[in-house]
Amino acid sequence: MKKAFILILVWTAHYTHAQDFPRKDFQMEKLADEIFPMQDLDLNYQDLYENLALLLADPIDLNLITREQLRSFMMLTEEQINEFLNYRDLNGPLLSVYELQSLHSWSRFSFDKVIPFVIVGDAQATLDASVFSRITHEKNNYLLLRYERTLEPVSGSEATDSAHQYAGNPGKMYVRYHVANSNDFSLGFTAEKDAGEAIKWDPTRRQYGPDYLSFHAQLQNKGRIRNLILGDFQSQFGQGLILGSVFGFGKNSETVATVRRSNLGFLPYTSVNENLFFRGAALSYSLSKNILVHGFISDAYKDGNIQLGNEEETTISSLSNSGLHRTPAELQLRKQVEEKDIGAVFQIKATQLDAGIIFHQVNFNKPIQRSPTPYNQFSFQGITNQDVGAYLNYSWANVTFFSEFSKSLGHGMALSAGVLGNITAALEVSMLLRSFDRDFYTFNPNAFSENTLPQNEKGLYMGYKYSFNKRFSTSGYIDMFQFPWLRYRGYAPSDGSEWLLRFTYTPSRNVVLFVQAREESKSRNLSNDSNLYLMAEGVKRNFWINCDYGNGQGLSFKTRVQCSTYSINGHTTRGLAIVQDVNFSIHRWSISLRHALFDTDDYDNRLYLYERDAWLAYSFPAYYGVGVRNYILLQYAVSRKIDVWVRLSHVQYVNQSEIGTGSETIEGNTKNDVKFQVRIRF
Amino acid sequence: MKLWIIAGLLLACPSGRAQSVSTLMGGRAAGMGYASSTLRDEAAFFNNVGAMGWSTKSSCFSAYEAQPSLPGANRIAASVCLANKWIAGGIGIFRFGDEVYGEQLVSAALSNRFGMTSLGAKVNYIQYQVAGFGNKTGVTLDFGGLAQITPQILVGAYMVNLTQASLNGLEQLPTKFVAGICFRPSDFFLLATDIAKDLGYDATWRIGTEYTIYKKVFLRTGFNLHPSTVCVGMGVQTKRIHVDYALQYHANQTGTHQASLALALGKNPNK
Repeated sequence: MKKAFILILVWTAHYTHAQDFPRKDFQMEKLADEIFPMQDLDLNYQDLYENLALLLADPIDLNLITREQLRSFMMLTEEQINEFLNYRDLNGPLLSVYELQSLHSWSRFSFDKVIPFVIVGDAQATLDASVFSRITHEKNNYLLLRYERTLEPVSGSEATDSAHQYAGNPGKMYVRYHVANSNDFSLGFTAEKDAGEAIKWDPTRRQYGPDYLSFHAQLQNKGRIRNLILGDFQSQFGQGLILGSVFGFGKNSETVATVRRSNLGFLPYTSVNENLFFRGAALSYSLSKNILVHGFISDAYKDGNIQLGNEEETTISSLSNSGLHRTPAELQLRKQVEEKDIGAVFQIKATQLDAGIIFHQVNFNKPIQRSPTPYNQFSFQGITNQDVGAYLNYSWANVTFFSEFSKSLGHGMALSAGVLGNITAALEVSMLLRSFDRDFYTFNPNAFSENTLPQNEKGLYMGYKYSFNKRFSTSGYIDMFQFPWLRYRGYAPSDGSEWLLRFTYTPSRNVVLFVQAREESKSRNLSNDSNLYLMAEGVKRNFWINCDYGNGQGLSFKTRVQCSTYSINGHTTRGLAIVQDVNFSIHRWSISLRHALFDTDDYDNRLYLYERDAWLAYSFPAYYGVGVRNYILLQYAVSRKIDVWVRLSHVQYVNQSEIGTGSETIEGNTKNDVKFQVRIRF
Repeated sequence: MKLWIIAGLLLACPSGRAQSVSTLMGGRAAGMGYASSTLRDEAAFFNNVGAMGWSTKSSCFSAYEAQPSLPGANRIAASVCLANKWIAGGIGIFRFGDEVYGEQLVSAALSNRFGMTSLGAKVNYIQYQVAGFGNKTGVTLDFGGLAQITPQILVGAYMVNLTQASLNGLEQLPTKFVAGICFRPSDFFLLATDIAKDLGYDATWRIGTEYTIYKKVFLRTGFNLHPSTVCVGMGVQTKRIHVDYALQYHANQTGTHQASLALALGKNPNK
């Protein structure tokens, strides 16, 4: 009956195709607040999240979406996923995304959250046309052109001595083309040049124009070929101990769903991080209804420091992750390491069970031999590494169990196992146990861990989310961990803990107010005057008060106070930022403004604050020092097919005569950045 | 009339240091420890220009603050706000100090309310005067907003010197940011809290409450941390006149008194 009613609604809506939600470019902002409100590690979050943004930019067809894909959104409970899948099984293909609203466990809020990522496709069109005509007729395509630069000259571009001089101009350029239909095909290329990098044709240095070039072509669900990718790709199997894409996040305020890694298989890689992808071919093939084999082969050149000796003594002393090639020293490292990968996964998939065996082998063209330090004695050395692992995921009612056990052949082991689900409709919990040996080696992981890599760590995590009613909810976690061996900046075995507590008040659709506190205790080296290192426990506390509100008619605001303290060795430092955002849209214009004031005593108190940016661009700077930061972002829809973005950001520091360090130093106390972007749909 | 006398006196008084004194004014705000970014009253011109858009009637306002232990540190302010259903505009003056050192501001503001949200901007012409050193002047821009997110909760933000202007291109004028939230669980009780940050100083945390003891008679109290201040105050309202008084106590001063008067303009203030 319900179905019939919806059907009538859809017909009366005079849509020729399946009815769609009035779709806007999704804003990463809300997601960002939920999923990555705090970051500790010195990772390039910009690239990591951009990858997520890119993957989410292609809405997935609700009629083809898998359980794992639904889980990968990290916003739905197991109960909601189960109800949706049961509904689809019982009622057949969906006609409209609005059908989601009829699901009992789906609140208005979960509907609003998920809607940018899903679509109800026109199944008939997919069946009728050839692949070529589907690609040429696909509406989900775009060409993106972006240029950005810092207006103030940096010392690297001003330098006159050849050793410090930047090779290229101070502009950053980015070109991207992508056409895709979820679970059918994807085709794209990306070219990028960072500020200070040169565009040149130099095949001897493996540079063909821009500094970074990437391409992929993907085909899915063609008979037994479930997935085929040529070009650049990433992988996500098991719990990401061996093969993980950048879908994983650390601990965050989405305390339940993000603990588990989704078993998504191979995905195209279209982002700009120059060290995170495989380059070659990947294939998923179904042997029978329940058995799949996945295999890939990759040969990619990455950055690293080659130590020249005699022919037999040439080694790689370090791998570089910055992706920057501006100065002669940086160019020296460019594409010096040839990494060959081969891997296979054997997967058994039934309704409730998903299990598999993973194998991955990596070979380098030269042996890796790091210069010895106290903490890296058990780091990877050598020319080749093989990992084998097994994963097991099992779902029962609204609870799911997930696990992976892996081993580096001849070296250590790693285990990650957890369970999450709904205890009641209002209460969700998660728990994860992990144990990684100090000599477990893995090169593409995204396992849930405190360290960057799943290595030298033991821990137990527990998280919960509870809704008191439609308006009030709370979430939190506690994580206790241990580092059995020395680590970077921690020259003794140590342990630590972290907890977070958040209360969210959602009085209406357009208002969200949350208060969040978090504390992390972790030991690290104190600055030393002798060769004897001393460690002390550092305690970092963060506190957020945030209010998002709007009138539901194109005007919205955000007011946020974010502060932190860091105490170590009897000394406490502090940081504070107050932020006000105003966003409004009128006709073809969208305007976002921010004024932020920040005062942080030191780098330990740097505050990460998400900023609105051009479509698919990601801005997540650390506010550090004392000063004011403003930005303005304009979007103008020139026509249905062309959109233009302009972004100006300004930061002014107090009591500072230069900004930045090394070759990125700017004279003076202000920094202005501009960005232009054009998107053309064909 | 009284306002014009005050205004005239102020303008006739030639007087001057870098603006470091607070320009938050009003007996109501002072009684609540200046947790005032979310208060919608006649002093909004000084306390959060964004909140001014909520007034639908024209009014004038004046306030005087005296520190008996430090006679040269008096503050005085006056403003006129012209408002209708759509928009509110105002002009105001502020003065701090004596012949030896003084700070003066002349400001003009505009605020607009749409639905449950209002935004406002204020331009200030600032003059600092130090006896024997002459005058220094600067122009600053303030911006504020106030939103009623539920019938019980208001959120406000007030940014002072948004453009980081300086005094005659030399000394940086203070840049401040105040964010606040106000909770009104019943008609007779109000709790407001602000966090105020000046780039040059530690953040101040302000909390204030207002309790209606009898119809139009109010008792107020509040405190600040960093630096510590305790405040008490009271106020009486009639249809046309609001009179408020507050005493603020700092550890290193004997006390600061502030009185303010607000007058509704127009023929029938009840409409």
